[in-house]
Amino acid sequence: MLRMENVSKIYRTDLVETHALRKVDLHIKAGEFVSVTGPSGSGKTTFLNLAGALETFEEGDYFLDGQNVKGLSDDKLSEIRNQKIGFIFQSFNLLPDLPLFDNVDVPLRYRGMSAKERKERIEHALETVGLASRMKHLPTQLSGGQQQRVAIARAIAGEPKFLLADEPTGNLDSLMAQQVMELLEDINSKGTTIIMVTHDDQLARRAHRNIQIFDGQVSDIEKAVANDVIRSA
Amino acid sequence: MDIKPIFLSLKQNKFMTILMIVQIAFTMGVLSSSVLVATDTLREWGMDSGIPHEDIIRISPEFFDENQDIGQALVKDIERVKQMANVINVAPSNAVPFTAENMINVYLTAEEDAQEYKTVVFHSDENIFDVLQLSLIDGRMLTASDVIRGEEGTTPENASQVMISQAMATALFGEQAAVGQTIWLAKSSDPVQVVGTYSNFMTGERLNGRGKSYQSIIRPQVKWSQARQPNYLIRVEQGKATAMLEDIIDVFYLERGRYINSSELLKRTQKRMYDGRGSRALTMLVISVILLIITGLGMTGLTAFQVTQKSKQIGTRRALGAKKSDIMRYFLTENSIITIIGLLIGVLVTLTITFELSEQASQNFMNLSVLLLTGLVMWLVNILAVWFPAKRAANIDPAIVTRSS
Repeated sequence: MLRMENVSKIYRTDLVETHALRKVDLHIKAGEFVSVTGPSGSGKTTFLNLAGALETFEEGDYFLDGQNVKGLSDDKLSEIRNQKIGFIFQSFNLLPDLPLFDNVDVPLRYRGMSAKERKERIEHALETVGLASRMKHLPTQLSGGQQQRVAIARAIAGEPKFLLADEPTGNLDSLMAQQVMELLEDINSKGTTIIMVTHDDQLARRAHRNIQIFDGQVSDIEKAVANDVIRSA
Repeated sequence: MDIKPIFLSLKQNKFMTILMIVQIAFTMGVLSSSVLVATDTLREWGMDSGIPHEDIIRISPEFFDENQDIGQALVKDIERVKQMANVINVAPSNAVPFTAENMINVYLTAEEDAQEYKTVVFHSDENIFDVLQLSLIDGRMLTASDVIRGEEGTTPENASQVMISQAMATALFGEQAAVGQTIWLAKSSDPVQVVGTYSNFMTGERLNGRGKSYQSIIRPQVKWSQARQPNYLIRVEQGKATAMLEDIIDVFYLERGRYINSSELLKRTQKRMYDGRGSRALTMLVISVILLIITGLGMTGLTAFQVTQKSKQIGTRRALGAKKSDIMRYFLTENSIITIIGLLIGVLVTLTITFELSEQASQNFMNLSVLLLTGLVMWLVNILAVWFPAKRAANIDPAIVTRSS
């Protein structure tokens, strides 16, 4: 599903070079639920940006669903993000001017789907997250937990290969966080691969597998356990 | 591109949207009105004067000595000028082509509510036709025996027969023959008979501004008073006018008790008229272009502000799969929607302004192609104004979405 081989990311200014990721080797299989943890400044966000094709990198190879994304054009990367990845952000990143229906519609429009198909998908996605009755509301009329559920609906409406969640419960109280986590687990149980960056060790432990990042280096400490989980699933 | 999300976004940002629409509508109104009036004004630059103005000199003497006999001086002036070499003919006239400002109304009946027709009446003698090289179109020429001369006050009678220009005849009588008809030079009074029509010549700006440049009447009478002394129109041999001007002025100074108030070639009079007109048109256009630039800069500023404000939203769109071209298209389409609504309202503003102007000037300034062209230019300027902020928006890094805000 996702394979990184020797991937490095270096930020350069006139004076300094910062190695944000160093020679990362990683393989995430289809259907896995992987949590990514690590202290602030460890390289989590950089990992997320590379995994989500939001940023380019200089060294190594990154295969996403069998396709090497290294060196692809900006337009091609946009297409990959649009078709293969669903994003869930800490601060939801809903478009405040658009009702829920149209927020979920955003990635589908860029995919060039017919209006009929888009409508079906949006309604189904909003039903999945339990907000179908509020599709004409604006994001500001919802609670944080509801907004994050809309963001999840937006992420799954296009039926991507995997979801990339960046601290999805970071801005939510524990009850809301619990609901969102259950929703993600439910989505994962239906076959969607999920990579979740989090600070919360408890949440991280609920994933099949936990990847830790320290100083730009990845240590895959629960690989064995994860493999068992996958086998038994 | 689907415009529904753009409309939804504009609806949520009503104040900014309305502000931009109003600005565009106002600019469109002022710009297109100015351009319409300016093009109409400049269009008349190429109009034929109808006279050999390069070979005609106008002299306007004025007696300050009230004891001098103006009538006698008139006779002597004409004699002296005619004796000069290269002078072809001379005629006294109360008005001068290109500067005739004494516009009056004439009427086809003596009734109180008779329709008004704008014109300028030239009081002159039979020589004016030769001086201005006017040709007879219909009827007969005025002759010396038609001309009434005398001092105002002591000569109460007025000429009862006139000639009118071809344009005047068409305005008054259309296809009908003008010769033999009676017209009234004042409301319910001063009836005169038309004995002939002559070829058109340009009167002055007041009629030019109404699109009636060539409507004139020549009345065969030469009257004078201390307050109203005749001008002289002198036609000389081709190409000699400039060289002869000073000599002619000298001849007029032979008469004691007066000075020459004005003396110039009609070529110069015409240029003065066009210079004034050109300046007006240019001033209007410059103001309009400045307004257009201000609107363009305003549009750039507002869009740049929005791009900064919405950078995270733009990044989100990019993360969700928008290509750079999608972001560009979003802003250009949004701008085009605002511009087109503004332009449509601007057209209504323009119609109102030009209707008022046309009413005031009794002239139709409306020109659909000029209006469309102005709208197109405004749209292009606005596209250009939004292009650079839109480009900046398109270059927003999608990775902005994972940075904490």
